[in-house]
Amino acid sequence: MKLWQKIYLVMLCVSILFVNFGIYTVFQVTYQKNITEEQNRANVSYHLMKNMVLKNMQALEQQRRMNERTLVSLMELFEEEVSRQKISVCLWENGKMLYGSEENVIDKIEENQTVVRIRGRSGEKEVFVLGKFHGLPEDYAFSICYPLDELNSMWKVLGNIYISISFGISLVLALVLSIALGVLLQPLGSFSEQVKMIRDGNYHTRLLMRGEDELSILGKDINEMADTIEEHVEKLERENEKKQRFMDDFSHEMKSPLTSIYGYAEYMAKAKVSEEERVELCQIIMEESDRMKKMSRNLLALSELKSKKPTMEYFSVKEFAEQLETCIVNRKSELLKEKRIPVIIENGLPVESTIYGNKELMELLLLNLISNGERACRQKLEKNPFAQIKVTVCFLTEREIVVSDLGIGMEEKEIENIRDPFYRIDKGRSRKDGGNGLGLSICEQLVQLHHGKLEFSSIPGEGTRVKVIINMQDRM
Amino acid sequence: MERILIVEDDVHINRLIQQNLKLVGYECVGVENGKEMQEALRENRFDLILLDVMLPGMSGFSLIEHCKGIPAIFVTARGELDDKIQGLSLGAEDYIVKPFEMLELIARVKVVLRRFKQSAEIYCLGDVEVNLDMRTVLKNQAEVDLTPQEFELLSVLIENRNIALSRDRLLEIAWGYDYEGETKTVDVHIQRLRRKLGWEKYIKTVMKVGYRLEENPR
Repeated sequence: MKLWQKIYLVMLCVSILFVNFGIYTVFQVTYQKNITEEQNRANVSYHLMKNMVLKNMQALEQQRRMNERTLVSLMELFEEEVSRQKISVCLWENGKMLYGSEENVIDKIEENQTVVRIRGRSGEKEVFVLGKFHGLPEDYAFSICYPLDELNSMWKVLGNIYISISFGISLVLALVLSIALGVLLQPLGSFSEQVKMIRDGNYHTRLLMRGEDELSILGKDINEMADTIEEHVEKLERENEKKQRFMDDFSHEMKSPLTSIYGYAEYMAKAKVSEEERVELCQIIMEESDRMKKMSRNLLALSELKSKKPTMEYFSVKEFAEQLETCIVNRKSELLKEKRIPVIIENGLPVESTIYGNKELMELLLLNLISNGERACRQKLEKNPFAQIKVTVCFLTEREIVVSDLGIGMEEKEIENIRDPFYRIDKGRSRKDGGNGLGLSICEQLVQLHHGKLEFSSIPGEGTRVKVIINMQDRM
Repeated sequence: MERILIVEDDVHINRLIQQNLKLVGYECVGVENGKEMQEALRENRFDLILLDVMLPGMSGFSLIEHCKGIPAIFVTARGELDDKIQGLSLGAEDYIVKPFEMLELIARVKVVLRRFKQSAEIYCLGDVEVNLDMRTVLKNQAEVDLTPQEFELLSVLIENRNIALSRDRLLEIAWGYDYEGETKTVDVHIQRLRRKLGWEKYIKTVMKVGYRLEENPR
């Protein structure tokens, strides 16, 4: 049975019960009042009749004609007198019935007392009044009895009215209740629809909820739940996509050097190769192995950085900037065949300024960012050999360093992904620019170790600006 | 001689494919991206294009539109079924996943080329002329009598010329996968081929590997 049906039945039963009880009480009170009135009236008529009978009996007594026969004829006369009112009378002498048909009632009567009694079934009520005579030598009792026609007809009318009113009100109640319940519980239906939709994986629809009652609150809660579920599902999907992309990229990055290594080794094993060719091919195998070695080292570094806690210290900005410059110059000499990209280091901070962090890791971070900048510049040169290019490292404060380049730049939407391992803006680029797509992931780990973050801003074709912010929570 | 265009941005892999295909007698041109590919297609006629999927600028999947009726094979590190289906449904003839084996690459290239070939394939070496379609062998214009199994072995050697083939591999290709013979069988057949064709100097025994048909023996 449905909830609304249960509520409906219970409420309908209770309200019909109470309504009927109310109506019944009202009718009962009215009826009782009428009965009391009838009793009073009967009492009055009884006394009138009793006095009349008493006077007649006293007259008989004076004429010394009082005997059973005269009394019976007196009663017959009297009854005939009041027969129009359907009154029947009875007379007892010393407890023995002289006239009338009432039995077994005389003993219930006390001295000086008049008994008024309403008897019979509802609708067939009659009144019975019984009392004793005083001032007569013998002990006489007298009673009258007549049906309460007025009351009885009123009972029938009341009964009819009662039934029709009760039936009518019940009908109206049933109707009103079902409509009210339908309207009030209507949201439950839509809740169930909504929950079913969520169960089936449709998280996008929302309930339309107004008001502040419990159902509306429940509806709003369901909406919020759907919001949360949708959010989580989307997040999971994004995470999943990221992982999938990582696996794709990883397998691609691994397969290229593997293809070369396996292929050249196979070639040397199966084809006839000259001595010079053999050396050259071995060179390629070594290069590719080196590429894989670097990649695995970077991957290892990345996973190590995720768990490691480096030692932190204060070190001089000035010394650090100088060391960085030397490092860049030294590294340049290794790559003589590459075109030089000017790297400018600006340090406008006071001599005594210090940075709190791990010097080696900070250096690794900046070198990584600088080489990214150089790569962007080189790509720009490929397109336009006369482009103005440079990479600038600027120490803004003790907690902020900016690495900017006038390189190729990137689209706004790429910034979100560039920190993912193996992510490349141009899917096809790989060895030619060096790097294996792990640089920025490592940088991200490095700044996190320094309680900071990387902020990227870029304009395609004009350059990229990376702001390194460290020690954010300590001193801000 | 068939001409094959290789579009692959990794120079080492590009060179590797070229060397492998040159060994078995194809002429190869290697380019690194889509722009160079289109230039090469304008300047020269090619019988087959080997196309990498992850290329700078334009992906191989979009480049295949520019192949203009020349059969293309994708060579890629992306080995998932979805990628294969996408590649093949774009009109590629085949799909080779990196890292690949030399013999696989050659076999797949051969299959595609044979499907598009117009003239009968005749291979000449020294005074021997082998018609691979008619299954006939002429030595000094005189027909040489070869058993079907000997001819099968000969054609495998010719198709994979300049590449050393192990006895197991020869059994597998020339005799069939379910043949449970001994590697001695291969030696016996090789001896007979050498004698019948007078190819003692061309069919070389490669130490620890197997046999190789060499076109330019020293």
